[in-house]
Amino acid sequence: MIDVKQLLTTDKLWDYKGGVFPKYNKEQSRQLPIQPYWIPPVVRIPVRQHIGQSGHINVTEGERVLKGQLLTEPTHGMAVPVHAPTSGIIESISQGAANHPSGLSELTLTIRSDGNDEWRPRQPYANADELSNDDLLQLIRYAGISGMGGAGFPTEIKLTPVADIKLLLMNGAECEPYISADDTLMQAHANEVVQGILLMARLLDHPVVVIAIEDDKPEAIEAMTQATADYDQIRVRSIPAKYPSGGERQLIQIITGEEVPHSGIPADLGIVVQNVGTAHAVARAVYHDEPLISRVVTLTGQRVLKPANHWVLLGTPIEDLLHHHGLDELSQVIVGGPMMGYQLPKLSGPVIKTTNCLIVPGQNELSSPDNQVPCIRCGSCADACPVNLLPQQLHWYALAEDHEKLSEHNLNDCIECGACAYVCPSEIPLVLEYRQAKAAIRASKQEQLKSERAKQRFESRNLRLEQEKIARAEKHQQAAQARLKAMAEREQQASAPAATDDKKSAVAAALARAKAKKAGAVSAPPKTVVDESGQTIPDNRDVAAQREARKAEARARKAQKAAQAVQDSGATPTELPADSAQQSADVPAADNKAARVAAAVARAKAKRQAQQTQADDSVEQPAANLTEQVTGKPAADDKAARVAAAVAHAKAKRQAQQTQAGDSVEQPVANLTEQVTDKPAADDKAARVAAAVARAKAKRQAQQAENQRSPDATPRSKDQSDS
Amino acid sequence: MDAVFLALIALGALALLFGLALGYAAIKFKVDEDPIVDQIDQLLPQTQCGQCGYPGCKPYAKAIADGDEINKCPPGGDATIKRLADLLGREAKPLNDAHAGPDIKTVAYIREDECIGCTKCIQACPVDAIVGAARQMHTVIADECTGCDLCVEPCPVDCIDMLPVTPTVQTWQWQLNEIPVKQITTEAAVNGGSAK
Repeated sequence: MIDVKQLLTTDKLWDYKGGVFPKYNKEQSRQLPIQPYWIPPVVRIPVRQHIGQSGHINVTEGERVLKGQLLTEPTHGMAVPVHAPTSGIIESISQGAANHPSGLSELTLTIRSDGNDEWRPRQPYANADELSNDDLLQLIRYAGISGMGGAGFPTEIKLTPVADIKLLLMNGAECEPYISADDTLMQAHANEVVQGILLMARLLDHPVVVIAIEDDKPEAIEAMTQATADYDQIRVRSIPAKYPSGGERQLIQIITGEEVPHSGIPADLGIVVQNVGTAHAVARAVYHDEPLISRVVTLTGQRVLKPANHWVLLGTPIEDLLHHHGLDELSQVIVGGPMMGYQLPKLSGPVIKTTNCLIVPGQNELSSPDNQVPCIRCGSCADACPVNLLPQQLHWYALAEDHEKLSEHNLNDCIECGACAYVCPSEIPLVLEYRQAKAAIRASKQEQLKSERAKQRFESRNLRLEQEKIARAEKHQQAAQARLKAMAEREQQASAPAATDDKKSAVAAALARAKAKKAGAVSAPPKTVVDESGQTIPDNRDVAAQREARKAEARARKAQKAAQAVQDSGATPTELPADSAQQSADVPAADNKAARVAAAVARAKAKRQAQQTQADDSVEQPAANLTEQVTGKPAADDKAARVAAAVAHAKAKRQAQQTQAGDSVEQPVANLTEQVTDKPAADDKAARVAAAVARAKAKRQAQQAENQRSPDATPRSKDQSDS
Repeated sequence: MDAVFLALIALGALALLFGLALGYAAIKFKVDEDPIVDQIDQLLPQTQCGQCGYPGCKPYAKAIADGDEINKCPPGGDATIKRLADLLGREAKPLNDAHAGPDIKTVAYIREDECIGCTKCIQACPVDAIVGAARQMHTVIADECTGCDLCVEPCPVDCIDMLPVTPTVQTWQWQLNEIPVKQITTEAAVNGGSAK
């Protein structure tokens, strides 16, 4: 373990293997002051600007928001909220261009600023001692602070100690060429940075603090040394400028000589690393109640007239920002430094919490590797790699997409610093290959997880179905047994007086049953009729007549009820003809709900018709009619429409029953269908319903076409329906 | 002669002993199922889509173990065929045309205002990724949908679409050749070379 006390006194610095010395190009932009922020006409805030998930959006389109207002609520652990950087109206919540090398879109809140820059009410703490540690962590969380150096890890999580933290390492190395945002921030706001550091140190139970700054920033070192003069737990260390010393693990190695284990995190060594910009944001959040809504961005490159550092509101579209600073024809903009940054595919992407630098390079300022040649196995990349990997081996495996070998060679430890690509004489875009391979490995892992889950779900579903089946079978069995038992009891009761002993009674019962059966068979011979084709078919006319009577009764009742309902609702009191369908047709309808009901009925009917058709091909024509008619009908009044729907429903049902019974079909169906007709289609919904019905119809027809296997099927069914 | 008998007896006794031991082991360590089935099942994509002609991935795994072809799984594609070939020591074949489908990952989407709530798709879904109740609108849990499209056919109003999965910022795979982005390196270092 590290002897942290020694770190406060020793002059010893360690080194890590590898690293490169690119041209720094920081002089152009490092001079003070930091330019004040500019309020763009529109800001675009992606809801997710860090590692983890986005919060839950708690504003709506058209709402006015004030500067600093919470736009998303952090609903779970890794969520970090975003805030309105200026006052204005939420113009849209939609997919917008992301500040990301893919150029894809992500969920973005667009705010049209009103130019007033009006703050929400603020409650700054003059003395942070009033706050408990938990309150302070919550405050940091709700201020939307995530790591401002690179990856954007939620700061609050890093400051919630999981282990005994002995060293808080403040990262002010800023090793990547061109970038001077942290440099100027430390020069201009050293005191606030130190305030933030003290707050962080308090949360981690007062570890030793070392602020590491590369020795090419003498002014920053000077400013920080002065600001920390009163605190003997804080020490500023100047480290030699080398790329990538600003990497978390590299910095730990330089300061402590310890290496973070392969799959471990710095906290395993009792170390937390934070960026100086993050410390500044924490101080602003506590002492000014100012959430993370702006940051320092280095604007540099040969085409930038006055390279400098600017305060930029988060969400400022990069395009607008550069236009504002006099850059019109933008062909290439690089976000981040030249080593690890990426070219922005869509310039409308916004500045986000991790955007520390924008480079607009001149013609030949940055070389692009169009002249890639094959690897010559020179081994320079292995010498340059700061994490002891074998880049050329990884290169071959990445080309072969050999994920297993890549994992064996610890591809996941690659920090994508770009040192290997920088030294490569063949100009092979090594980092890009590694990024692709990493993404592919990640994707296949995800795939595996997903398929594992699908398997589990599939199996548990099968188990469930099996259980349901068994339960059903059991229930049926029980029911059957109960029936048997009841029957036996009845018989016993019936035969009990006649029988003297068990055996006799059983025999008698059996005899009686046989006799009864015979008698039944004789007394009620099955009614049959002979149709034209000479086939004997069962005669259901009596039964059908009875059913008809019952239905007529039911219809009458329903009609009465409907009439009642219509009158109650005060809608146009329609006269009630004997045929209830007539009335349903006349009811005018207009609103949403009614239309929806009508739609559902239409669909249900269509479906039922389809089923019928399958059973009996001859119904095709009327079914089509029916569905068409129901479709065109808009509804006007809730209740009336519902009545209409119910009536139509009942009728359709009746028709279906009739059809199935084999009675003459065409006539009544045709009647029915006529009744619901003649209504002008009016609104959107109706059209959609029509579409749905048309689709259902098309599907049914397709099915029919498939089902029409033999040509004799149609004539036969016609015969039946004629009879 | 004695020696011969002795040897025969000794060998016979040994044979008996080992026979018993093997017989016991066969009963004691009996494997209920061919373990290769599980290994094959591991490699299959578990979409449970049935495009192979079997009612799920496990049945197909069983069929492969029983000698069926390994090239009937469209969701798995060539990668799965290659892995199966490696596992089983068989020749990797191109995907069988009869089972070939579009090679895009899709996810089911229900147009909710057209859904009539018939629950037919729920019954068809092999992984219970559709929620809904009778006469209530249904919807797909996109995260759990395997894209097997078994729910499309049963829908009476055809309100289910199979939408291609679009890459998000999180799932994007650095395919820079699709968009004009170049990898950036600085000019030759002033200090020169790498640190040794």
